[in-house]
Amino acid sequence: MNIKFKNKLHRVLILYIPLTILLLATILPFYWILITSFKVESSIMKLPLLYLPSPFTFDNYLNVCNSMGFLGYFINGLIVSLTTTLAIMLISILGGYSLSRYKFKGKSFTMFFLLITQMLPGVIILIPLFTIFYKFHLINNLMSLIIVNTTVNLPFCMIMMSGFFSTIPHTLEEAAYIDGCSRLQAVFKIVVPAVIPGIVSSSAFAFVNSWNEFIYALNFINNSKLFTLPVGLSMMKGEFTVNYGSLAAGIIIALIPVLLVFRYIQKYMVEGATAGAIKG
Amino acid sequence: MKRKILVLVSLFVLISVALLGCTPAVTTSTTSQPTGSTTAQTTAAEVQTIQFWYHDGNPTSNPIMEELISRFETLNPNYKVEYVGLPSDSYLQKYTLAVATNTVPDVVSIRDMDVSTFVNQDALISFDEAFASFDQKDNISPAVLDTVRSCAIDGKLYCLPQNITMDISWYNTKLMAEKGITPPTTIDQFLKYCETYADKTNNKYFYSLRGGGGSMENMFDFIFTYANEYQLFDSEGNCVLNQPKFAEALDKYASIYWNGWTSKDSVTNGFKEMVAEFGSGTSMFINHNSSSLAQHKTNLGVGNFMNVLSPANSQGISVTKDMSFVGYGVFKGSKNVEGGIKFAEFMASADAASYLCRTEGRIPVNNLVYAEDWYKSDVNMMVYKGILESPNVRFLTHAIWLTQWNEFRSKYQEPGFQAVLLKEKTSSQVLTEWADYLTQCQKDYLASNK
Repeated sequence: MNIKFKNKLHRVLILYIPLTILLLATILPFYWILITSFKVESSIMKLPLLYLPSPFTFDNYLNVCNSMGFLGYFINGLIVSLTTTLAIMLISILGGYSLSRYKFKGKSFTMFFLLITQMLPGVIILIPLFTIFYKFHLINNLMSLIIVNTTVNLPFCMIMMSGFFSTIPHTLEEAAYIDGCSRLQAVFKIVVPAVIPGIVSSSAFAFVNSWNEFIYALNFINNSKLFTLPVGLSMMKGEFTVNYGSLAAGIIIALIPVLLVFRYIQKYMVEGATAGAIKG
Repeated sequence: MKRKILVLVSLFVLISVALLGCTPAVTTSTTSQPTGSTTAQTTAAEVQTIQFWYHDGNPTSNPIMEELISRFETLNPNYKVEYVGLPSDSYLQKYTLAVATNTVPDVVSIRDMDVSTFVNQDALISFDEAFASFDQKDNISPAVLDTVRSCAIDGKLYCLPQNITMDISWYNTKLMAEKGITPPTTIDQFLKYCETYADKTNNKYFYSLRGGGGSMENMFDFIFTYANEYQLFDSEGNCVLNQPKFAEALDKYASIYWNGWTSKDSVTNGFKEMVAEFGSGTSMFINHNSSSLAQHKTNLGVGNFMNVLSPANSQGISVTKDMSFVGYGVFKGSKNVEGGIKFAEFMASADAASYLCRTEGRIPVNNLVYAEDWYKSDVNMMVYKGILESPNVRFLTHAIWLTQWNEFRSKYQEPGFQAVLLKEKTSSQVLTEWADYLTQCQKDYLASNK
């Protein structure tokens, strides 16, 4: 057996086959959800399994959009997630820069405190948060979800951004100051473009987390027209009935924004995942 | 200059966002101003809002609730109902948060297992006074009313029941006809069928055992029937499960899994998996309750399945779980108690009960519904009627008055039963653990409510 063949064989056995198995294991559930969403309800439980929908139907999507108010949930989710992401982007850029560049009293404690908040499950602060929002008339208002999602996701994004800012040499900013830039101009014109991968990573994190958030969306909203997608999806499963076709259609609809986001930002994610990990 | 513009724009955005956040929530209550004339004062009376939360908002029940609300508003034009359907898995969290923060709705749907929780929190009003003047009070099943009262130590009526579900067996008529058999009437016959029709090679079985979440009902029905007992506690509050006959009964039940007479997955089968096995033809007999009718219709088609009383013991007695009710309760902190009571009474009335039960396959507790044509011609309903009237059926009341009952189920009963199925523990060990725990809970309950 020559070396070239041996290397190829190694590559196939150690890399390609395991990756193929992993890929199949990852993709198969999504494939199953996709084909289930196009199946007639009565054919979903039939044996033998149908690997392709037969008969093929769009009824589940129509049912979900028309009679379940799913489009409303989708729009509510988009409003909450996009606003949360924008707010987090802005605040974490400024906060992350400060944590990275400035030395101030209590900096270590601040970093530690930000990390600690990530270890608390959200349900612990549910009642006090509800009480606060209720007093501010924010219950039954999407703003309550925007505020809570921003607050919950901000510490992690800020710490991530401070890691990215730390990878940018000071000299870059100093050069900008020499050219007449103010601090803020240097940040937004020189430093921020250099940490685009980091901004994209933390924005994607914030978007996906707020898109999937359930507990606060269920408890802070008392009007079904303002429910978000996770709450809407959970209502597809009744106490004694499960509408599998509609549930699958709802899941596919819920996946679309996340898939589009990741399709666009995946190259930044790869860069950002490794760059931010080096210094922090 | 650019800096000033940037600052002004940022300020504008911040103020807009703050104003957006501080605007009042969506208001749906409407009030109309009274006009000058006296007759106009009565017709333009203020429309009151009733906030109603339903514990099982789903594609089937939401339209039903909307229809019932529409009927209520037509009969009572001075009321407007704000409906919120909630996910069945997490509605209790929302109810509990509302009680804890005193932001409760006016009326909620409430299940039997939830009543004691809210009674202990002193969250619900008693319906006794209002019920006395309810025009259909004599039509509500006394047995179900007693069940509702038993959920509270003071015996008061904390919700108005509308429908019940009953534990039942479902069988696949088509598959059984192919095999030339009829549903088993005794436990011995049932076990014989489990053995005879287990086909591991083709993954086909007679029975789907539920070993995962929700296994308690099926398991208790079997072991209490086998042991010919139908009380969970004796007169002194001791749980009876640690008696040897229950260990023997549980061994018999678990032997279905040990012998491979049911699928290997049964140890984690919940409602969805069990119904899926039944619906796909993997099994031809399951124990569940009356509410899975709609799912069986979808999966198997009308005419291919039927309900039947679960198999009896050698004395001809079948023990089944006491009726699980769904009713409507009004919170003490409600802003519109009167409206809440009125809506709850409407939902308990024959009109509402008939519509919901007919559509969702629930069993009505209002006997005015029994005279309706749909009920009399419904083959499934006739089976439930027969069970309720049968002298050979005993009803086992689960200890839903104990606030630890749900905890017992999730922390003790479900893992314990799985441990028996996997032979990690013996039936005797597990039943003794359960009996000790429940005895303690029951004695504490009795002592604190003397």
